[in-house]
Amino acid sequence: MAKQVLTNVAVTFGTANTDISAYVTSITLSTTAAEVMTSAMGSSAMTRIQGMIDSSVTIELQQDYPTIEKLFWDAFTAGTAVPMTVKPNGTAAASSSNPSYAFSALPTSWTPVNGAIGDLATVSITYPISGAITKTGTGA
Amino acid sequence: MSSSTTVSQIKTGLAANLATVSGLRAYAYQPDNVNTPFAWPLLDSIQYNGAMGGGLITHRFTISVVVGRSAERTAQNLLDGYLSYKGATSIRQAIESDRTLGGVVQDLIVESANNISTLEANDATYLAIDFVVTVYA
Repeated sequence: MAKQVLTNVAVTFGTANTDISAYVTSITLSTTAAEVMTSAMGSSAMTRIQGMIDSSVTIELQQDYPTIEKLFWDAFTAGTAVPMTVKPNGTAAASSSNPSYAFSALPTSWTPVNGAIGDLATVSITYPISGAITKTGTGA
Repeated sequence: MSSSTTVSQIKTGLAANLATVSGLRAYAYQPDNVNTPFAWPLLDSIQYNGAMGGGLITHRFTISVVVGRSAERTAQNLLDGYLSYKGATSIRQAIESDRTLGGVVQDLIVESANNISTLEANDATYLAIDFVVTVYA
């Protein structure tokens, strides 16, 4: 696989694995680890180890009330982490060129109505991830 | 909808909405004959990949309406009705009367009316107006 343009990221949301890809205009899956200092007396240089990992997912969505709004409203009001998957190259089987990232996102916010007159209705969310991100795919 | 919707389906749907204006001849393609008043959609641009997997394709159309001979008062009166926001002959209202074009697109909006002009054909001068329409498929 060469360098590529993202046009077909497959995104599912919820326990029913609802495919929301057709409403997604942008997605960022990000994971960071805390930096823990391990320097001690006698050290001549700072030493560090990786600490707790913290991840989040940010999605720009196009609004659709019977589908997207209902799905996310229900998840937000339920108040528990929701399973999600992200695959960068469509719904084909997970592989090194299309790894699957599975995780649980905690719906901490929701914006049912957003937009100006004449604009396409959109919504932006950033959810923290509860637990680890599981990456799968042969050779991934 | 979305990636399975064809440009022809959208043009046909726009023509069907335009045809709800009494007396207006609506075409999916530019007609050969000048038989006023008439209207047809012309595709200006398509923006692909508005969402992942072909989830949103944005089409911009210019709908040209040729009203009648510019010197005729009836043509000028027709133009007033066509340009109105609401009313029996409002072009905007007609185009937005079915915003899914029979279920083939997700939504549409008439952005503006502009380019009120005259055009020459068959040794006559006609009044014309363009409506800019954005269609989300």
